[in-house]
Amino acid sequence: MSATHDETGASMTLEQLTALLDAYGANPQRWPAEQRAAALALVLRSPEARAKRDAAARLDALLDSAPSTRPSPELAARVLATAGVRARRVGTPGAARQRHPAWRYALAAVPLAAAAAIVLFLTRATEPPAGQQMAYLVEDVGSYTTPMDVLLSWPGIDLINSEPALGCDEATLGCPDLDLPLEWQPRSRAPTGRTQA
Amino acid sequence: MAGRSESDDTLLQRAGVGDGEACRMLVERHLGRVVAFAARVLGDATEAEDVAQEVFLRLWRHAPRWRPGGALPTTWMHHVARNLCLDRLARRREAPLDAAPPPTDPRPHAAALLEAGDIGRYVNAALMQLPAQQRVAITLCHYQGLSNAEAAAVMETSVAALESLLARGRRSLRARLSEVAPNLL
Repeated sequence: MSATHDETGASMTLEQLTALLDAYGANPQRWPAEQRAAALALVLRSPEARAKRDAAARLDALLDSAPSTRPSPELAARVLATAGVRARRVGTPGAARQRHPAWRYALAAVPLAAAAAIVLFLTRATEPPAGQQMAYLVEDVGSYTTPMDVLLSWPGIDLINSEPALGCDEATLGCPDLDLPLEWQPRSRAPTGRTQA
Repeated sequence: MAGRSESDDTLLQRAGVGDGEACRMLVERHLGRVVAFAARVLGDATEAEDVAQEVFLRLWRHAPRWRPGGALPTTWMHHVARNLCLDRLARRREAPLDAAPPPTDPRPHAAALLEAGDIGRYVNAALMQLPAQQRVAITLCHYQGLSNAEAAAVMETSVAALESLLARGRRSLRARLSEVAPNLL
């Protein structure tokens, strides 16, 4: 069998082209780059080579007709949850920025401001007259429970777990990502060797 | 805000320090491909999603140690997915016979599928009849668009061995498809 040379001088026989088509099919993009030019040159010159290329293309077309499986809509959210990341709502580009609008931050600040006001009021109400302030400081006031203590001890409130509810669960906003597993903590491990597949 | 042009290497490094947006972009880019790959190898969409979830879980764990310039992230993900799929296929073979799925030889149903113009489903069924390694090779090169070097790396074999798997797989498919649709080949 005579070989056909491409412009670089590389050559390919019909047998070699057949082996190439058997493995990779008819699409030159799937052929190894180093054989592509010689194979194309042979296909251009040889009707027999073109017939083999066409036969491979028909098998390719059948393979392409096989439907592909797409992920279910929920899968992306499940996958992101394993990274401690909340999925973006479908169809709303930029939703990450809009998920915590300013009014939500303002709303979250209301209970904090109210608690601070109560603490300030009660503290001032128990403050002695100016002339007795030094005596007040050394006086044994005993056990005193502030309104904030009451808030902190409330069984339904966990300041650590409820932090995202205050509007801070987005790592890109500079908030702590408390949902990440331990191994996600940055720089928690010493670098190892290069990644291997 | 991250640009779409950011490389997978960069995104993985960002994901490694807990960047949620980088995680989202990696999922957008690769989840569909991983699911498609696993579904073709396993022939089961639900199992394919389980495999994809496990692949990304391992990716998140590996991300803090990711070093650019090593294996391509796509190669790494396909490699992990391929191993998980082969593990599942091996467990299927070990399962008791009464728990095994029914035979999937598509030939008895070929006429009905062809009549319905659903040759694609027949092709998928024919793919499932191939030995797993041949199916993995064809899926990587034909459907996933990996280069021969990448596919060989995923399969931990040589390019020559990969080409042998591809050629044997395509010849088997041609023979099976010729039985039911000779006019299409």
